[in-house]
Amino acid sequence: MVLFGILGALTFAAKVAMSALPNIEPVSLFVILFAVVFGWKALYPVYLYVAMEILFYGIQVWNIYYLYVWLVLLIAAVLLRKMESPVLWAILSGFFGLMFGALCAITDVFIGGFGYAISKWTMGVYFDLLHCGGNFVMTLVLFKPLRTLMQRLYKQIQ
Amino acid sequence: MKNKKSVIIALVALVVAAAVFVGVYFAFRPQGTPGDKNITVVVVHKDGSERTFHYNTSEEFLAPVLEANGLVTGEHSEETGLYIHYADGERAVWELDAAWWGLYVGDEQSMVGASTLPIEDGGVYKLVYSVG
Repeated sequence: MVLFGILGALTFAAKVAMSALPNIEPVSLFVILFAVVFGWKALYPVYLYVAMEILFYGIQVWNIYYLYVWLVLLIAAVLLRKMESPVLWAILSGFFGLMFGALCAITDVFIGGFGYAISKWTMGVYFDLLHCGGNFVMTLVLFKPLRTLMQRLYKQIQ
Repeated sequence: MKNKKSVIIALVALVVAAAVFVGVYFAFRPQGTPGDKNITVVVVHKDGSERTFHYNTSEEFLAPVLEANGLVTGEHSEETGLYIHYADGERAVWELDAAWWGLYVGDEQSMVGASTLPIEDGGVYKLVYSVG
């Protein structure tokens, strides 16, 4: 549990460190890595990260997005965890980045109606494209070395 | 071989999806109208009082008009454009006042910030002191 606490906090710190780059974030990569290495136990570090985001940035609408958006990626990654190819993982991460706005729009439908949700989503498409590109490149480059490292570390503490 | 085929199919699917999103972006991005425009800006203060300003401008988006005429000051970011701190001399900064300047086009809340809100001749834009 201590390890999951540290990893959740590390995810938050890494995101803050990269916050100057719009929609370029390491969280998607970390969620995938946690899912691949820990399986369903990845829920612990992921939701610790979500809790830290809410504590740090306060109660706002995006809190609702965060309650389910990362879960979508986590479920997909757990189901595909036998996948070896870093390219396929990069593609999954890229797709998630592309769909991030659309996933958030689900909540917006209940907030302001369908028109509001569609309008807000289309206005944010530029950032979804950045998110897709950033996720793809980061996962392509870092997935394999970080997975190897995390698996080695996890084996040592088990 | 099978793995290589999966990678190619997945990559093509991602590229196609991204291309669709690029199309959506260009179809729906805010676009300004060139040429001279007369607009009205109403500032609704914390105490409910209103002040109205009339501008003639050739700008295409709202933020430069507000800044050039000294009506607003704020912070610029690449991601969100102008974040208005002061409007007509009154501050509304979330971190300090738990308040913000809501932007309206007529009576409808704007979906975009002042930096990406295209202005039209005859348009009425409101900056409303908002809390919570």
